[in-house]
Amino acid sequence: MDRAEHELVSWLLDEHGPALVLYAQQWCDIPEDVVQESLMKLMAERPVPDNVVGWMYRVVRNTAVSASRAVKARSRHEQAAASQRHPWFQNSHDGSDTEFITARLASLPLEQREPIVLRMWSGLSFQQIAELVGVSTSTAHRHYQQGIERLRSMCESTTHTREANK
Amino acid sequence: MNPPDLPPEHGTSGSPEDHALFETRLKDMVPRSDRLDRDRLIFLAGRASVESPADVYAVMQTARTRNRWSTAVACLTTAAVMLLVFAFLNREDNRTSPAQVGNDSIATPAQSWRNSDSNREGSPSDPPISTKTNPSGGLDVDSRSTTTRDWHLFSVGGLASHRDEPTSGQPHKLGPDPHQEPTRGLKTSDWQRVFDDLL
Repeated sequence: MDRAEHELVSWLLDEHGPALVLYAQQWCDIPEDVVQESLMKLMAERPVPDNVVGWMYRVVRNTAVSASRAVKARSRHEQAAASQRHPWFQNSHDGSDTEFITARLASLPLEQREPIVLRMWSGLSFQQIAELVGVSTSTAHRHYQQGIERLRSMCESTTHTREANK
Repeated sequence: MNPPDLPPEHGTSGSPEDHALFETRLKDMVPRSDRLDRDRLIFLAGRASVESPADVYAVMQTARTRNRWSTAVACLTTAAVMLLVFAFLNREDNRTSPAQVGNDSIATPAQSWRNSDSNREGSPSDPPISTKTNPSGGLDVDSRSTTTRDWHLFSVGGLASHRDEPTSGQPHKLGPDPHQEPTRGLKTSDWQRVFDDLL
């Protein structure tokens, strides 16, 4: 690995490593392995793709989908337990809020959750999201808006319930 | 408030300020970064980058060679098993010659040889087949039981004739017998020729 490749890998891991893990976690509970396998594929790719970020997200997506099929036979209870063992986000000052939003986010349908994850924590444009997911840009944006709105309504309703209980 | 490449919102409830506030709140959540071992990944990436396609081809060649050996071993094993089965079946067939099946009174010359062979003590230096004239004028067949010869003679045809019926404990006789009808099978000269061929 020459210097340029080393810098590329370092930058990729620093800038997109956690987001790639979070993205892979939308399908499977072994996201670290998925990201590692995708990185190995990137290193074996000659020539190096022009759009490395987009290529990497696409490979992570495909690998995670394949991994999810492999563990499809596991029960829903086991999958939920595995998800709880590996929280998606770092704990904030009020950790309960993070867990609360994570639980609501995980309950969203995948078609709404995927653009939210890619937009919020990967920083991809809607055009990139559309190419990655395989829909039009307007569809990707619509799913994003619907997901955000649904998430917000879920959070607000729960907040109102909490305040009413107090 | 939308990102720069976003079209304006449609069909969303709540004020844009609330919407933006919620998005900001979401963005403040940081994905976990402790799940990736950065140094290990860089090491693995470096190793993967130096594994050239030639190395991959070499690995594939090794796998192909291994498969070739496996195929050869499987073929040889199959051939050995087939030979063993064939030998076993052949041995079983020799125990009951075709002439004995269905009619015990009909015996082949080969069987006569086998019987005479079991009643005599032969030495390895004895010739396989020898003929001599007996007092009654017939030919004494002195032979040793040999599977190949049995089947060869049997395949010549006409061996299962009543004329060749052996006498128990007596050497087999070949030759003209005036008391019997002409044989359906080989004549004496034919037998002589067969024996000469064998010798």
